[in-house]
Order: sequence, then structure tokens, then C-alpha cells
Amino acid sequence: MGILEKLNKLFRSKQASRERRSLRTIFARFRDVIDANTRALEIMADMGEKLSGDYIFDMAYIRQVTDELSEAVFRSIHNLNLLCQNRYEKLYQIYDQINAHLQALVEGKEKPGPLVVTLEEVGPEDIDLVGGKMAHLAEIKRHLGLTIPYGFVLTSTAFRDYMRFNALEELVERLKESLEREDSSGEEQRKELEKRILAGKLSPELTKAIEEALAKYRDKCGQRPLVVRSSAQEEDQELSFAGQFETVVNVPPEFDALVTAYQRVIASLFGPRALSYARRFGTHLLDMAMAAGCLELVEARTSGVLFTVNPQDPDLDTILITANWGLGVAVVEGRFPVDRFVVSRTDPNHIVEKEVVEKTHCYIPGAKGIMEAEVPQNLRKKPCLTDDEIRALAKMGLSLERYFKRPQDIEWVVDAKGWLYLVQSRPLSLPGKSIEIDVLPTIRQKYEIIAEKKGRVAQGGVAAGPVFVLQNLNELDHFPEGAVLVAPRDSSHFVRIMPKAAAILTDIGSPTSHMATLCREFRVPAIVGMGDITKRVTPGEMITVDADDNRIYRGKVEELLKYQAASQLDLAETKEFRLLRKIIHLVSPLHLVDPLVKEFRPESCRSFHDLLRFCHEKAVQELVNLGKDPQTLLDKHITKKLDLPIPTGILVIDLGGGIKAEAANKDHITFEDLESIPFKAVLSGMLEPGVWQTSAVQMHVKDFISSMIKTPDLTPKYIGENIAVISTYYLNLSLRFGYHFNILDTYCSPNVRENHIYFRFIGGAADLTKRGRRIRLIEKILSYYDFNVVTKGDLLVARLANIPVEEVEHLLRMIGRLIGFTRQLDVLMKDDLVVEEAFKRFISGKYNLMQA
Amino acid sequence: MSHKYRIMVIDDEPIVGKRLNLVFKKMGYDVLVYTSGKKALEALDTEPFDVVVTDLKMDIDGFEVFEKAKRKNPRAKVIIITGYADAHNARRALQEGVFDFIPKPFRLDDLKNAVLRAIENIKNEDKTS
Repeated sequence: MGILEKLNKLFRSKQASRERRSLRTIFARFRDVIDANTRALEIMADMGEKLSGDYIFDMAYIRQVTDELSEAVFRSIHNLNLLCQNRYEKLYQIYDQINAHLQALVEGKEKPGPLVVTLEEVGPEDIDLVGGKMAHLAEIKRHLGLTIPYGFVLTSTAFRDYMRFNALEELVERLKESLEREDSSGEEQRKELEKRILAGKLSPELTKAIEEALAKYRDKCGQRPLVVRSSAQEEDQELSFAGQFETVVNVPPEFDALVTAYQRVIASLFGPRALSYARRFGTHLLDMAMAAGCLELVEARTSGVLFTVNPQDPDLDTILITANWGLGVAVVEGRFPVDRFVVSRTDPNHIVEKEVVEKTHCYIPGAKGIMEAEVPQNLRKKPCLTDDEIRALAKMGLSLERYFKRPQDIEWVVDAKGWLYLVQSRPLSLPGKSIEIDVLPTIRQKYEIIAEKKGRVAQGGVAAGPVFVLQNLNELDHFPEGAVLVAPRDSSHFVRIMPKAAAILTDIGSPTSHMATLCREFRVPAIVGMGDITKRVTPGEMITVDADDNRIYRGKVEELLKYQAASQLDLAETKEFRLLRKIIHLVSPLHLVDPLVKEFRPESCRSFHDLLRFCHEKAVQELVNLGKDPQTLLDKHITKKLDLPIPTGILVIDLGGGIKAEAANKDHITFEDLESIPFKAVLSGMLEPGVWQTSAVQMHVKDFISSMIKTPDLTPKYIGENIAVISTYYLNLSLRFGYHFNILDTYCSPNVRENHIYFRFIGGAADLTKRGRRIRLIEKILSYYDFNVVTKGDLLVARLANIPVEEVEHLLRMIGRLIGFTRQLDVLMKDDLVVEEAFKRFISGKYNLMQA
Repeated sequence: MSHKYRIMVIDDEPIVGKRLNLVFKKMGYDVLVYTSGKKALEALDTEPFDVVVTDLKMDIDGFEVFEKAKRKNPRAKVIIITGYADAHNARRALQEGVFDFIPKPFRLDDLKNAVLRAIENIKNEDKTS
């Protein structure tokens, strides 16, 4: 041996031992990242579950979990940087930004937003920005598709800007102080504040924003006048402030006119009743901002109000509609006699009472504002709504009540052409409707209980409806309004019917599933994992779901429904629930899904979930890269070759507990040596008889496979392409078969919240059309198993999280079969029919496509 | 129902009282809610009660509520709900005869079951005495 060779050998062995030592550290760091991620995801799932209504939590809880979450996410980032020699320092900066928002939220500070937004732009997280009233309207438009006049909102940020620009914030503080001291100067200060708001000026930014919004409005609605409505932050939520704030009707879409109306609306925040409210409910009310909705004034033929529960009906079985010709002011103010219609709440909504009065006067838009007008003789004694319109209104009201899960007080307009518009919907309070609460404990004797304390509550609430048992997802198209969906398992696909579902019950499911989260967004009472509820109910029969007490009754339990309607507390609108929801909206959306796109970088992270996803992916990547290093490959303590009856050439890196102790020193291991739950599940799928097709496509595939995969000794070309990083509960599997890659990242443990499956498929040798078909097939199969699937060209990413261990194993076996099944498929995908055929075969366990 | 049992709820976080009010009423009990420990202490002098569900850390110490409640009505049961569920407090609660000690946040069922057990105990004690 020459001296150079000796030196080289010495150097290499030194390097190898250094590598080994540092590898141990690397594994420890990797585990630290994964542990921190798991903890953070667990906290986020826990926060979501608290919104179900099944828990008692308070502000102390919110503060505590947000601190723990921030800490866990920081730990993940920190350990990733230790693992990767500070390659991702940028993450700290992103983390700081998100964390600052989070802390501000918890401390009750507002996040400034745009000064003006159109109603279409308003999203679910914007309730503080646009106020309760406008947020509700936007939500209704988004989910129920009801017609709402076009318009825009001058936001809470605009209000703050106005107050700051006119140095009014100080006055508010002084007013608060004098109220807290209970001295007599309060009223005087209030008047001063009101006066100064009315006389204030607009900042250049706000001026510009309003001018732009008006220009956009005129493009759309021409010179149609506006209605400027208050939309204070707390309005129409826990406190309704009904009638306290100003609405200005018939405002020309011109700058000066709009500003004057705007000032009147925001000044009403400090109107005469403001002080009594603040004294009663707390001076913090004076800190709230007033957004203003500027909506097109509909050319009203008839306007009015609808109560989904008629407060005058002792049985609460009817809907009350009051209406007059012209603008709604006539009905709201109650100055003139109006028509009164009472409609049954039960289908087909019979009109049970019609009180048509002589309507002598109404309000119409005047040259300026509104004016009183005489109703023409021929219309005075005529009902101002047709029977069809009355029923349409009733149906609209009930769908709003079903959506918001409590009685609604609705303002509506019908235009000259008979179009129905919704202009406001808020919770209807039924004070004095003390429901005979004593009857509640007795209903157990009166009604048959179908199930009790079975499964877990995903979202609380009480609802009744006919049973709709779902056999397959296509039937969702026929889901009737107001039915109770009863399904074998949770599915995020149910989101389509959530706005019209009374309740959702499933045999198998988890309160932390994606579907459970959606049920909470839509306030749909839901109980999941009930075992055999699909067998206990008959399609079409009426049942009552009490998700608050986790009990299902046969029949319609009127007592319970009435109690629910009259109960004053809407949990979803309480301060704590709203805050927790806002926090979840900030931390848990996942935008960063696909690690292959160039957007997958620290700068694109917008939520904690994104950061966690990024850290996880990069940590795994670091290990996979390590596995590709020939030096580590040769070290049998680090990587082992897996010998299977099928040719896969997989190298295994065990992080701990993935391989039986007695196999620790082997450099070739077999299936029997494995302990990793997810890895064994995937492999058993791949090894199922018939899955690993080679015989039927011999001519095409045999050589292909043998050259690419059947490599008893790894050829340098594919070293490190097929790698499994495993532990007892974890698997990260990268498989390259010829020209396509499968990447599977999964956690499969007894703790439901930790579990996830992430599957990525890309590439393929055949032409693009065939590859596209294969992607479509995989998409179809994974969607069938309820994965969230995203595809782009010949890339597919599928995800699923928070599922019980047995379910994960079951799905991983399926993915194992899918990996085997689709391996050579692109070559066979000669037309679109094959996709359908292959799908059917896969689902029914027939994997040989060549057998006709 | 022959006798309507009365539950006193004391917690300085209004949402807790609001919710428990509805939950216990639905179970068929009479409910009194206080967001101030001091006011609740005063009420213990004048209002009858069977079960007290109280927070630990408020304007006053929850144990103070416990002691006075036991003094006023020895057959009453006191359940402590708290975000500060450390071993020290739990042990103290157990030693002093607090009926149940439930750390926040908790599932409603856990508290409902504790209240049901408390009422059951009271009924049995009433029978034997």
C-alpha cells in the first residue's frame, strides 16, 4: 500500500467515525424537530376541539395554550437550524412576525387591515375588521347564496384612522375614565365626542380609499343611491345593540354625501344610549370600532321584517312576517299600520294567518334622505306580499336560522321585479320566553333514546331532522335541506352540504378530523365515532340530535328544540370562542403543501402550521440526503438493506424502535425484522398477492423493472433513491421506480392527534397524456378514501390527518397496494375508459389490468 | 321532581358561569351564578344551596368559599374547578374534604358527573340520617 493510499484510508476512516458520531447528534436533533412538531400540532388540534362546546375553558386556557404553542413552534425552528447548520435562519424572522400577531390577538389588540373592502372580499376571519353585521352578510352570501345588495365596507381600520386623524382617541379615554369614576361629566363628554366626530376631517389615505371605492361602485351600480349601515365590532353578536346605531338611507354615491352619512353612523357609537350600555356591560364597549357597510339601496316595492320564531305564539311554532310598501323604515319604526303574516315553521309552510290592514302611508326615497308618502288608493287594502313571496320569505328565514343555529331577526326587501334581497340577519332574542325547563329531565321518559354517550361530540347544539343515510359520496347531491346526515365515516366532502344539514352523525370518526373542524365553522351539531349509528336509524325517520348532552332521540323533541331556541347564550359568539377561532385562523391554515414547488421556502410561510410543515420536510430531507451519502450507506449501523420477495432495493434508516433489537447488527434485514407500524403496513399492502404485477405486462415491464429496481447490489445510479426513514410510529419513504417517485410521510401512533399521512406522486416515463390519466386515477382512488388531494400536471399531493391508528394502518396498506398497482400503469393508460376500469378494479381488489 | 337541588356557581370568568347556568338548568337544577367571590360569600349567608362549584383563584381564595359553605351547610358538597391544578392544591382539597377537584379546561361531562355524584351522595346521606 502506497503512502498516499494509507493516508487516504486513514482519513476516510476518521471521517467515517466523525460522521458516525455526528450522525447520532443529527438523529437526536431530527427527533427534537419531530417532537416539537408533534407537540405543536397536538396543541392546535386541542384548541380546535375546545370549540366543539364540549369543554369549559376560559381566557387563562387561551393564554396558556398560545404560549405553549409559540414555544413548541420555536423549538421546531431552533432544532431544524441546529440540524442544518443554520441554513434556515430566515424562519426566525417569519416566526417573530406571526407570533407578534398572535400575541396581539391574545392581548386584544387589533390587526390593522385595509381601510375599505368590498363585501365579496370579506372572509371568515374579518369579523373585527368589518364588524358583526357585515361579516354575517358576507358569510350568508358566501355559504347560502342569498341575494344581498352590492356594496363595500369602511372598515374598523378606517374608523381608527378617522379617530386618530382628528385626535379623538384621547376624548374616548377621558370619557371612559369619568365613567369608571362614576362622575357626572360623562354625558357632557359624550356630547362633545359626538359633535367632534360629526365635524371631523378625513386623512388623505382614507379620502383616497373612499374615492376609489365609490368609483368602483359607480362602475357597477351607476348612480344608484346607497344605504350606510353601522357594523360595530360587537354588534349582532353577544350584544345586539338593536336600534342603537344609525342607518342612513338614500345617500348619493358622491364623496361629500357619503362622508356626511359615514360621520353620522360612526358618531352613533357615542349616541345617547352608549353610556347606559357601557355602564351596564363595561366601559370596554367604548373601545370598539365602528365599521360602516355601504350597500346599494334596492328599489323597494315592499320591505319588512321576519322573525323566524313568532314571539307572540306561545308554542313558538310559527314565523312572523311584517311588511309595508316602500322602504323598511316604516316597519322597523312601527309608525304606520303594517301587514302581518304568520306562517307555519313546518314544511310546506302554510300561511296560517294573514292580517292585511289599510296601509295609508309608507316611506320612499326623497330628494334627500327618505320621505313619508301616501300609498295610492288601489294599493292600500291590497296585501303587499303575494302568497308565493310569503312562502319564499319563510323558507329563506328558516334556512338562515338553520345556518346560524338560532332564531333570526331578518330585514328583507322585494324589488319591483319581485326579487328578494336580504339586508340584515341577526340573532333574535326571545326575552320573557321562559321555557318550561322542568320538562327537560322528563323527556327521557317520553322519547325513545336511540343512542347515548356514544362517540365524541365534534360540535355541540340541538337539531332535529329526517335521517339521510349516506352510502357513497355521490348521494350528497341529493341531500335534502334540513336533514340529519348519518354516515359510516367522517369526510371533509360533507362540507358541501353543511350549510343545509341539521346535524351530522358518523360511525367512525374523530373530533379532531378535518370534518369536525368544518362542522365547528358551520356550527353543525355533530357526533362522531358512534360505532353503529347507521344501523340504529331508518332513512327518512325523524330524529333529534342533542349534541350538548350527546344523546339521540327518536322523533322530534319539541321541548328540547324550544329550549334551545330560547336559550340566550350563543357560544360561538362569546368573546372566548371568537378569540380562540381567530387564533386558530391565524395559526393552523396550511398553505405550504407541496415541497417541490419553488414557493416552498421560509418566506412563503404564513401560519405556524406552514412553519411546522417546512421544518418537518427539511428535517426529513436532511436525513434522506444523509442516506444518499455513500459513506453513510456503507455503514451498516446506519443503513440496512431490506430484502423483500419483491424487488424494491429499499435502504432503511432506523431512528429508534423501527427494527427489532436482535436485528440491530445485521446489514440485510427482512420484513420480519421490522417493528415500525407504518412501514409494516405499507409493505404488507405492497406484498399482497397480485399487487406487484409483473406477469401480465412482461413484455413491457419485466426488463424495465429489472433494470431499474431489481438490483441485488445497488448500482451507483440509484443509490439512495429508495430510502425508508423509520421509527416505531414514523415512516418517511422515498421510492423511485424508473421515472416516477412516491414519497410517503406518515405518523401512525395510538395518539390520534399525532397521526398523519402525506403522500406525493410525481413523474413517469410514458407520454404526458398517459401520465395525466395515471394521476387522475390515483386522485380518484385517494379521494375515494377521503384524502385531500391536490394535483398539478403529473404531480399529486394527498393529505389526511388526525385519524385513529387502525384507520392509518388500513389506509397505509391501501397506499402500499396503490404504489404496487400504479407502478407500471402509465404505459397501459391508453384511454380515459381505462381510468374508470382501473379504479373499479383497485377498489374491488382486482389488481391485474391485463385480464379482461 | 320532588325537590329541586340548588347549585351555586362561582367563577370570575363570566363565560364559565353563563355556560354552567344553562347546563345545570337543563339537568333540572336551580342555579345561582356569581362572578365575584366576595358577593358569593355574602350569598352563602342568605341563599340556600346544595352544591357549590367554585373557581380557585379569584378576588378571594376558593378554599375560603369551601370553608364557609361547609360551615353554613355541612351536608353541602363543594367542587373546585381551576386552571391552577397543582399537586399542592389538589392534595389540600382532598385532605380538607372537597368533593371533587377538576382542572380547567375540562369536558362538561366530567363536571356533570361530579355534580350527579354529589347530589346522589346528598340523597343517600339524607336517607340515612
